[in-house]
Amino acid sequence: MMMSERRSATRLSQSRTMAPLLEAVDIHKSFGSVAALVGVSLALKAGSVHAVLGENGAGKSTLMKTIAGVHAPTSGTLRFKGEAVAWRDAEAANEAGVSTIFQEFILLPNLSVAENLFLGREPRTRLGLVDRRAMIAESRLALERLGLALDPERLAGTLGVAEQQMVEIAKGVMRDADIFVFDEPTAALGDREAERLFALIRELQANGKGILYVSHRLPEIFALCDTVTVLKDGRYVDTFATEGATSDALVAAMVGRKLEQLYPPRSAHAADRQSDVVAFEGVKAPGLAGPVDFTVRSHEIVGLAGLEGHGQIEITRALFEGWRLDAGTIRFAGAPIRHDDAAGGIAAGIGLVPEDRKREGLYLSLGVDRNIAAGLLPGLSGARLAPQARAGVAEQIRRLRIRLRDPSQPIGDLSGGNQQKALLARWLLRDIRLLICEEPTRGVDIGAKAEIYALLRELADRGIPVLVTSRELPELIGLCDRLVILRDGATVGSMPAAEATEDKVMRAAIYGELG
Amino acid sequence: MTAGMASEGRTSSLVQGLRSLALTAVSVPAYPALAGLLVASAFLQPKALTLPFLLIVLRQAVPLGLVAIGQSLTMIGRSIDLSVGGVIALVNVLLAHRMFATGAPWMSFVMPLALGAAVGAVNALFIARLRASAVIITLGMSIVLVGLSYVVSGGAPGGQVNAAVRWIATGRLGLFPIAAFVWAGVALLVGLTLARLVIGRELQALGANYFAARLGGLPVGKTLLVAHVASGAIAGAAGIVLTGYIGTGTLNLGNELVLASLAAVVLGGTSFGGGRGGVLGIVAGALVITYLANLLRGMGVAQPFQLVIQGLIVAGAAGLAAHRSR
Repeated sequence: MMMSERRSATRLSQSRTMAPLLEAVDIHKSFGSVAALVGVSLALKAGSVHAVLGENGAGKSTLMKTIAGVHAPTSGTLRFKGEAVAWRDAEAANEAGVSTIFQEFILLPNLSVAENLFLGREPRTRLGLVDRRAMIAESRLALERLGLALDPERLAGTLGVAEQQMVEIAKGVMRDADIFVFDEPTAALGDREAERLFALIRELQANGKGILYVSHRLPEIFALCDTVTVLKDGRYVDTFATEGATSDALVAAMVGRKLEQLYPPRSAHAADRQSDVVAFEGVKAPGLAGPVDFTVRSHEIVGLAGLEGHGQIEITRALFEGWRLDAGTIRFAGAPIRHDDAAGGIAAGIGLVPEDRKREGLYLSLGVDRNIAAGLLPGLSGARLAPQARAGVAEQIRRLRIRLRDPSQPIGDLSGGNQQKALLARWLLRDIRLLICEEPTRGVDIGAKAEIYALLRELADRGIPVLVTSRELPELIGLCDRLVILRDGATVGSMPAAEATEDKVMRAAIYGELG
Repeated sequence: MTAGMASEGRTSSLVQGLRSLALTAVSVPAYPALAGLLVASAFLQPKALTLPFLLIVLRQAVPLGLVAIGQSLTMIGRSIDLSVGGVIALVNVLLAHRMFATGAPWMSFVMPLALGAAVGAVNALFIARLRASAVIITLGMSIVLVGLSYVVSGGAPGGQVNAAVRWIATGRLGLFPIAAFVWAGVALLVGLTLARLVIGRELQALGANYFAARLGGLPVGKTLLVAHVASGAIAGAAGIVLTGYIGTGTLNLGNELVLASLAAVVLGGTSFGGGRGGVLGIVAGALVITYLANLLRGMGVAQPFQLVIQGLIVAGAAGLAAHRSR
């Protein structure tokens, strides 16, 4: 008791004497007519890891870029060590002591690690030549100080994502930066790499640096950060001390609604009054050891559950693309499927939202409108006038609340949630009889998640069943009516999602029998 | 108050207009380049701004402009057609061959188009079936075609071409060269196809993401076939016009159009997998390259230097395009 009082007392006095390292006051930033930040304030203290939390599109990245000197604020003040600053560009902010590790790295792939570390500030010999030896030696020292076993002479392009990130951090350390900004640093990292990153961040913290940490992964934020500032729709919502805050409170601040409303209520249609839309009967196929037996009824959302890579994708693709089977039958709407490619699956009335949206779903350089209207093209003769469907596309954009500047904006500019909605819109524009949704909310922020779940449920209620795969078991349990459990490319059985727990499903997926 | 708001709206739309103009200028380097060339020639070579000179440039730009339009179709689909030079070479010696020179005029028009289309079909088939690199396949095809042109001409081409071929290349309707109307017709056709027809949408989708197009139920193989057939046929048409200019058979005609067509496409704002220049940008790109060559020749710059300057401009345009996409 005494101890904690004294500690909080010293902390208080510290905060009174020490001005924040960085203070953003009432920052506004607009791009054209779009306001990305509306009066956001934030104060970062030395020795603090300060999380900035918000959905995609909440303005986190814009705020970070403003602090890093990439964007100049439209209005508002930025104070660095007590003085108002207006950085010309990112380099100026960098010089002053703000080091930023962005989602996309800016290491030059054809230069070595050492050359990247010293870029623009290479040590010189007396002749004015670049002192390579000093550069390499100093780089090695700096990397070792951070506990990194990286060869400074390696080309940056040969490094993995995690290593590139480490080099970016080393760059900041070598410049003796005061502030480190991390923009979703763990998005591309594995667990162990993330742990190493956290250790590094804690070390920076111990050395009295100020750290801004953007993420929407709550566990990370609780593990790492002492303060959380929440943004929503470009506005400041609240600042919490992580101690004492609950994830529910943070999510509620972030989304503006409660977490339990994430999943819509399950189907009210009695199972025995529904007809089978899809039926796999004793199916064996390449990648599916089989036998695979399950059905999808007309008003259901059915989830394929199991460990990753146990036949989920093979099942969805065999159905959609009409794979040649080694054994068994796939029935769709009563009859065995006849198609043998994606175009045939679409013609039969199946829509598919692929798990890897960017690789297999989106035409990133084309407009949102084109991406949506692309769903109308299959089956049309090439010599026909392309359907404009302007009204239909606009209707879908409005209905799914896809946030964009202009329908012809390249879809690559949109956030993950909006891209996913556009892919769904592609199939809503067409009359489909079944939707396959692989990973419905991968890389989608929590607000858009709720909207996507509601949409899938609405489809099922209208008699368009949905077949879902997901790596996130809670999502399958929350969203679906029924789970089909897979193990080694065969079905174990199915269970009502209402009775499923993560434990039950995992047991079935690992031991191969329903408990 | 309302008046103030209205004028504000007007200014912002003006600003928006200027911004989109600036964006177009950056993404279609041919426009500022053409404007720059015209301004520069006002100082360096005022003669180059006279109508007769401009009409000559227009006429000369037709073969390149045609080939570039065809080339752009393959490039939008993320492929490439290096066999256009071979098509032109073979078309040229065939047109100068007795069979076509003295045959019915329609034969001299149908043969090049059919030959080009067939070459394009074979290209597409090899690319799709063998999953081989379009660069290698079409380059190989070009070598085969040039070889065939040597066989047809016996290594010593010459002879006369059909009068109809000369007419379409060198004739005039009023002031304007007939060839320019052919060019405009092809440009209009391709432009409308890209903007309005299903196949145009499919080609752009294919170029943007092959895997998405295939999984999205689009006929990717057929689309690639159409792009290559069109490119080949249009190269055949360019062969007719080019042959009509010189009126005789020669060795390896059209060779320099291969790289120049890539240059015109890039200048026109189209790159591998798409872009935003459209056919009009490519027409401007072809005009830039042709006008520049004429201007330099008029100023007495030697041919090798012309190539150097041309190359630099193209590299600059490509750099600009890369910068833009970043």
